Amino acid sequence: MIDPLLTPVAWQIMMVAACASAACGLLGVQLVLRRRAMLGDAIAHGVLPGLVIGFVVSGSRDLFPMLVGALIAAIFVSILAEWLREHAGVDGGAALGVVFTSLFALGIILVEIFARDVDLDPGCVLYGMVEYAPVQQVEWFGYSVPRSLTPVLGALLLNLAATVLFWKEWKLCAFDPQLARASRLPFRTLEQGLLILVAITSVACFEAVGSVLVIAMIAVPATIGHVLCDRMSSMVIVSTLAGVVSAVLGTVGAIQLETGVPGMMAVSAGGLLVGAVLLAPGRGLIPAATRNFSWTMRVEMEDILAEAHLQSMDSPPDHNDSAGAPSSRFFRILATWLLWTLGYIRNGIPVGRGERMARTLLKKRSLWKRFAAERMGLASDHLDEPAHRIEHHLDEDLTRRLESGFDSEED
Amino acid sequence: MKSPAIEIHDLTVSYRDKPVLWDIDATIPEGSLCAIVGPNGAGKSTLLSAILGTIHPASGWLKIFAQEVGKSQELIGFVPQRESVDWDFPVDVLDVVLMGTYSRLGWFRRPGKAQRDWAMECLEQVGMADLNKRQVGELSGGQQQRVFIARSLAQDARLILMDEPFAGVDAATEEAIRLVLLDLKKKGRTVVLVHHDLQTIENFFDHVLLLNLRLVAAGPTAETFTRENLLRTYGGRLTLLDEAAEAVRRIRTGRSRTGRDR
Repeated sequence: MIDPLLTPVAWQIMMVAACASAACGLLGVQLVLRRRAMLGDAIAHGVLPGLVIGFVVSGSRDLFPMLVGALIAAIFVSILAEWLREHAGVDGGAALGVVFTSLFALGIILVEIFARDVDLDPGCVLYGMVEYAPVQQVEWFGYSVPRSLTPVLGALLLNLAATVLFWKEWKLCAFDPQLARASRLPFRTLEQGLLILVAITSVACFEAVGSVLVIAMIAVPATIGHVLCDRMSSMVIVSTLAGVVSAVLGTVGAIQLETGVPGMMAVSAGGLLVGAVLLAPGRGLIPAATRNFSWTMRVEMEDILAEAHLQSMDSPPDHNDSAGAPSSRFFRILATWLLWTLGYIRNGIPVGRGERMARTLLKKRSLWKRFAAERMGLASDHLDEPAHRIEHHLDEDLTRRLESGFDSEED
Repeated sequence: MKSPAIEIHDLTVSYRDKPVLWDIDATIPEGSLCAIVGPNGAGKSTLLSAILGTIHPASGWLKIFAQEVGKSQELIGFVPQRESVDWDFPVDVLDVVLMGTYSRLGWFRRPGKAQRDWAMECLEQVGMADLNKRQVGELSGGQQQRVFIARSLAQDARLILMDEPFAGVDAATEEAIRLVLLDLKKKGRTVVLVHHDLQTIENFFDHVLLLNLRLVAAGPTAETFTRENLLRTYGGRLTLLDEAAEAVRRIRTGRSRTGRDR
């Protein structure tokens, strides 16, 4: 099954796709951190008429004229959006939306008009033609590589260089624009430089992977990085890797399922994002739910053990909460079953580890009650309820401090 | 007579056609603790932005240590309003404080050990050194505020602006900020901050600036912070100038008084 992966053609497709994804992912981090991933979207779409005009004027698919056209269009997008925002009172996001959809539509119309004369079709603009990357080859230091690798790799290196060189400046601009401007940084230049890089990257990658994928690869891997990471450095690395992994999965998946590579890449990236949101250590939905569940179970088990222990000692029950919500009754039954299975409780009496747990809990309960009564001066009828909540949260360290807290003044 | 840290002359700032600050004239002497006081929407934060140089005045000028804002090479320490910060941003406490050292580092240089030590020292001053590896979003509101105070210390600037540093913080943080402010004052730094708690002004700040679109009064607290001035700042919503501003807006936008906005 791994066989197709090893064909040189597949490797070349994957290389182009991976470089494009990594290039977009690096810039995506900057845009996502500014909450402006939409801008990547806008520029990737908005450069289209510029591309087409550059293409038509030069009459070839040379990179340079298209790049110039696209850059002009990108600058046009940002100026026009800014102008709309200032003078028509349109909200920033909406202004961008208006500008780039109009320009994109104009681009599509231009493509269709000129498609008769030149070799360019809307499908290739939207979805790229990474599958055909290996068809046209160039020589690099004696190796034959796909022609479209040159611009994509160029964009990747450019973005990498910019990310490293302007690391702290961009970080400050993204995190605190006001301070960035106040600390004599050329804020506008830095931000516009970022937009120009987005434009260059869109152009360099569009031929290889299409404008739809450029947008996906700007927004999705960076969002994955944002979900998973606590530092900008790790976010940059994770986002770039997420882009590369999407490219690999996309290429392999497309070959296996015999579909288009760009589509498969976007789907893989989306899948990775869902995975990250669900499984992110600490804050992912599943770890959080697991933590909640095990906490609830622990509280229930401790409560059951403590109650059983008190009853077995013929003490009056400390509190009764027999009437609970259906969900808590479910947890209670589950906890009872679990205790029985683990052998912590036999014939309604805690034994072994169960007994120790019950004793510890009751000790914490009385410690807290004493603390609340003596230190916080709570009335005796105010003691039970908080003690029942807090007792589960007292770890060994706090318990020790509570015990010793009665002697010393430190707490 | 000390030279002024900030000199504001006939300053007007407007968003679109609506003036948010009107004809401000004030001087803030060097080494003072100055509070900017006024009701919501009085233009307090706007005044800070104008001093920072992040918004351009429609008319008038601002000088910082006798140099015009924008041309001035003077570093200004800055503590933003807590609501304006993106707390999900992937930075830890030390990263944020290190940002204070960036402008002295210059292009292409990364903060090194010297900067990290200095940042830790600043964190120590606000009692946050042991939390230096926390992501900023995991801190309490008061701790977040202290991190930004530490960052402004790390900037080591002669002039520090703070936008409501005391808003919604716990008692420990309030105390920490007070100590930092007193320490800054002792070192001869000028601190200008937007403040809401009128009760604490008389004992703590030596200079006040009462603001409500236009300047109501500015000067040493003892003479300026009077009942009469406060009434003029907070009482009587529509003053003549507000009416004038409204009239200008109506003419410029071509909308009648009963238009969409009112």
